[in-house]
Amino acid sequence: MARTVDLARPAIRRRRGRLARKEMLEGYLAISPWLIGLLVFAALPILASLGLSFTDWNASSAQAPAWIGLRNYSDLVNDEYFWTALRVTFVYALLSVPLNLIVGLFLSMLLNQKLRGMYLFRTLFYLPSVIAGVATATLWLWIFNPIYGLLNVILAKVGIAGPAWLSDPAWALYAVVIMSLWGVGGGAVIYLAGLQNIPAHLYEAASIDGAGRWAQLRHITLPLLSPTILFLLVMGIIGAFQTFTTVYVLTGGTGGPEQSVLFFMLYLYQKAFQDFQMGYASAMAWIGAAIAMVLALLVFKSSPLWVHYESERT
Amino acid sequence: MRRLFAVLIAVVVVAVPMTRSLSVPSTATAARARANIVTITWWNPDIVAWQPTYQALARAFMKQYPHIAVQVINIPESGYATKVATNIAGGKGPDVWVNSHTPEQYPTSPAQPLNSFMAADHVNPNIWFQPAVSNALTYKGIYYSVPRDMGISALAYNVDAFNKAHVALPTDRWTLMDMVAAAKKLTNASQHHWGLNYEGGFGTITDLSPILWDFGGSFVSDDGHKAVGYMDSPATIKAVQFDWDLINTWKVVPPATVMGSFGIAGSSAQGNAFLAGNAALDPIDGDYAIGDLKSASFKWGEAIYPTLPGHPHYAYLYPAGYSMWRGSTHKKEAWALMKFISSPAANAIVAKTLFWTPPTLATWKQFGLDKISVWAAFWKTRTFQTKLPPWIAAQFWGDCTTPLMNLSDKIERDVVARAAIPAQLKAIAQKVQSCFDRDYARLHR
Amino acid sequence: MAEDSGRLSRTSAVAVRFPIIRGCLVYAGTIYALLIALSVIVLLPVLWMLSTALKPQSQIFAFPPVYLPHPVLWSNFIDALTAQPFALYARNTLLLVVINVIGQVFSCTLIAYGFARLRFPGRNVLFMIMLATLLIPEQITMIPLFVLYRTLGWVGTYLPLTVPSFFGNAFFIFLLRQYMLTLPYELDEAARLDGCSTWQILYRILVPLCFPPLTIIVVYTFTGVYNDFLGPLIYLSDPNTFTLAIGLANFVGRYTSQWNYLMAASLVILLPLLVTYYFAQRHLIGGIASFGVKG
Repeated sequence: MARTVDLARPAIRRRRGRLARKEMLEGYLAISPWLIGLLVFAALPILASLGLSFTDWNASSAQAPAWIGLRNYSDLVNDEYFWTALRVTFVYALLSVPLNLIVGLFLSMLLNQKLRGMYLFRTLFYLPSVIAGVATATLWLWIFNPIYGLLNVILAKVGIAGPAWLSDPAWALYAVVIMSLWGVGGGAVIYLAGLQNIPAHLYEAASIDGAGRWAQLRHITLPLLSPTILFLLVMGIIGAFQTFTTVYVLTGGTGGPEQSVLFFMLYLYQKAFQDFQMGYASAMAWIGAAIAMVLALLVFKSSPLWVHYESERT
Repeated sequence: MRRLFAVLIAVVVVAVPMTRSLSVPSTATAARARANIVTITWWNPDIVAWQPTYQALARAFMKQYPHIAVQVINIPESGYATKVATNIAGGKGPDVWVNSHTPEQYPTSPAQPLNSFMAADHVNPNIWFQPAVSNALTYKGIYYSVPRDMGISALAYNVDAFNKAHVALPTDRWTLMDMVAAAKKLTNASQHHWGLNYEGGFGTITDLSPILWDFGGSFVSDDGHKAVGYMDSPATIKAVQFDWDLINTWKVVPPATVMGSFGIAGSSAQGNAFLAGNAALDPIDGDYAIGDLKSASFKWGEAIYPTLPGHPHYAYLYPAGYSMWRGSTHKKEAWALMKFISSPAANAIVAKTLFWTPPTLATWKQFGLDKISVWAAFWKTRTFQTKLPPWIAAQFWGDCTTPLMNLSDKIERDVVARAAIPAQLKAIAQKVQSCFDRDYARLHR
Repeated sequence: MAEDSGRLSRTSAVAVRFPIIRGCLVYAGTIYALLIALSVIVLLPVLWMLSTALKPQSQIFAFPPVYLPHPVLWSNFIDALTAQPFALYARNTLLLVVINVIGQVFSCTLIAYGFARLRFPGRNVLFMIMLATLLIPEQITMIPLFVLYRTLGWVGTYLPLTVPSFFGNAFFIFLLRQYMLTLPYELDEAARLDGCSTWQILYRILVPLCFPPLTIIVVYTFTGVYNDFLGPLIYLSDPNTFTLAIGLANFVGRYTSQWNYLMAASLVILLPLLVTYYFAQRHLIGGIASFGVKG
């Protein structure tokens, strides 16, 4: 497909010099709204937060921030709860991101069937992701109730004595992972958009060639969906680092029994708006951003190995 | 796509004028503007049900001060701290707001010192009927807040549950052991009935009741600087072991796994097992619980909180205070409002709704609250000695006491032996102390 | 069905396809069974929301829990929606939603086009910077941003809640860029040979093909603005300008919460979101079908 275009390229290449300059200008023009927004709205606050990370500042006091150099960063290294928060977030990401990717893909393939009533099912599965965080979390508090919760009642029916979920440090994190799966419809919606872009004739051709459903999934669906999967993977990692509202409500802001669900953002929030240590919280944010960035970059660096683009232009 | 845009633009064309019509001042506001009326803002963090009381207070105030318009702004509790911190730090704070600084933090806080205003208007702080009210709102003799209410703890009981179990009702002469004995009789775990409501994080012995102080213990020194020598003192150890016994020896409180059913930890968990009829006794905090108790489906009463035999009674008390923002451009008007909302006149309005307990002596007498049996417990408690709650006394409480909270969690799950408590508390006190020391060192750099 | 198969079996060509039809029926049946089973899991919590919404306050914390409220208090819905000026809040929220949707659709399309289809020096570095801005949590930039908006005189107006949408959102730009990368580049070249300008390629060729992700942007923006609590909370102080999310949060306090009202109001407020999504996805399918351009 791409090869046929290459035949036409020499003619284009002759005009490249002038065109390239025009394309460059147009490129900058196209992204200019974002660039302007970055410089006007984002750059100053972001730089300010970087500056604050080198200060001691009680945001609820009337005092100005005091410069303390790298002290916040060195204190963070010695802060056991900071490491706890990182560990909780990593374990959550390792469990919830792949699970959501796989279940979301499976669900979206179910929802992509050309059958009657699909609009209704799609709306239904999208429902959990539009319910505001507070309502969702209160719901799940009941579902995880060790004695009367829906989950343990059902488990008891099949002869399993369910754990105390959110009250048990060994299980609380799994409860949050289960809850994250309930919102999988939000990711499935994005997969759906990708699935609908896959031409039907590819499947028709494949089935004429005798390819089964599994082969079609491996050789058509997954490669053509790979840009979407890359997107969801990167956003999933970032999302794990930003998990906040649900755990805040589920644990009343405490991070659960013995910090078992003290997510990174929850700890950051505690520092920023409960202890008002804005400088410390800023330092934490920058370390978190650096870690998430490294992870995202690793994913991007690996992407040529598994992501397939129709129009590769570098 | 074009059609979509057309629809969107049509909506904007319709919606924008609608909203503009909202922001156009009404004739009344316009008239006020002509008359040089000053508008001040008043921020509160309470739920919808409480708003009519605030509105009534504002109306009464504006009647008295026609040249001041008060804008009552209700900020949802879940975002209150964030909104206040952001707006004040960002230079656009409220004129008057519900403030909760530690006294020690007042001098560096955005709260305006009030003594000159109070002196000019001859406001006598003695109208507030417990010295602890003043203690919570002042630092080194300077007032930074005026009280909205006075939350005092008392022991609420479910009369129906007591009668059903044929247990004698609590009296003011009860000791803590009488309370435990009754709670044992009222507990029937298989029927989901427990004797005493329970609050995690050692809330049952500190947050709502003075049990820790009754034992002679405390988690921190009165100034909030020291944990070693307090958190690990023999008296504190005894109080914590009492907490352990409530859960694991006598088993008279709902287990931690069940407490989750009565509401979200930290939000409205208080009193819910009691309100649901599952706990017969409950340490309640006057000003916050009364509104809820009015909706109880059973007959209830109140007694003063029991203490140990031969020990003095303590009151557990904490007032919500109003402060004025230092950056306010209408300080005179803001003070007028503060003076009003903590006055007997305003308390009289509150006394009619009773969403919180009025802090002025005059109001109690005027409405005979001291004579009403369910209020009498609060009234009797007013003369007891009291201290600031540890989480108010210690400005670094939130930052440093996670190990203590973890011990509470472990006790609730019965994974720490009773005999291990002294050693645990000793280690925790050291840990908390080094955190306090570090935070104070930062502060004085 | 029997009538159909009787008619079909008359021709030999259909006789060959018959096993496939039966296979399809089994297949469709399996799909439906799976979907219905999963729907039950998704719906149970929502039903619990409804049950809470219909309970008297005293039953909310009953232990063991009351699953079917008695009496059923439909009046909770009326009480919840009249406890606060929800019509006003809805109008305010709708205005914010519409402006944000316009802003995001317009700006993200343009920016994603630049990142996906046009070549310029520093493109990849700028793209990574854009992703990096997603990583700085808003809790940290909140105060500096507030100072910035106060300096601009925007605090207390809708400007901080609307203007930024015209400068794109990294999440949406990334989404749209990923999608545009899956569209064959021959489309652009062919259009260029036909004399289309760079911008005509975007709006005539690519945008119609990008309906699926654009629908997602519309729906996500709608949901995001609708549920945004912190933004309106921080920048608005006049109760007449408040939004639905603030109204909902007002039912929940530290000491008392009206869960039945919260759930009732949440359910009502949910409906516009669901209706939007239902119709948006119909639009999405239509968009695909009418432009059968496939590589």
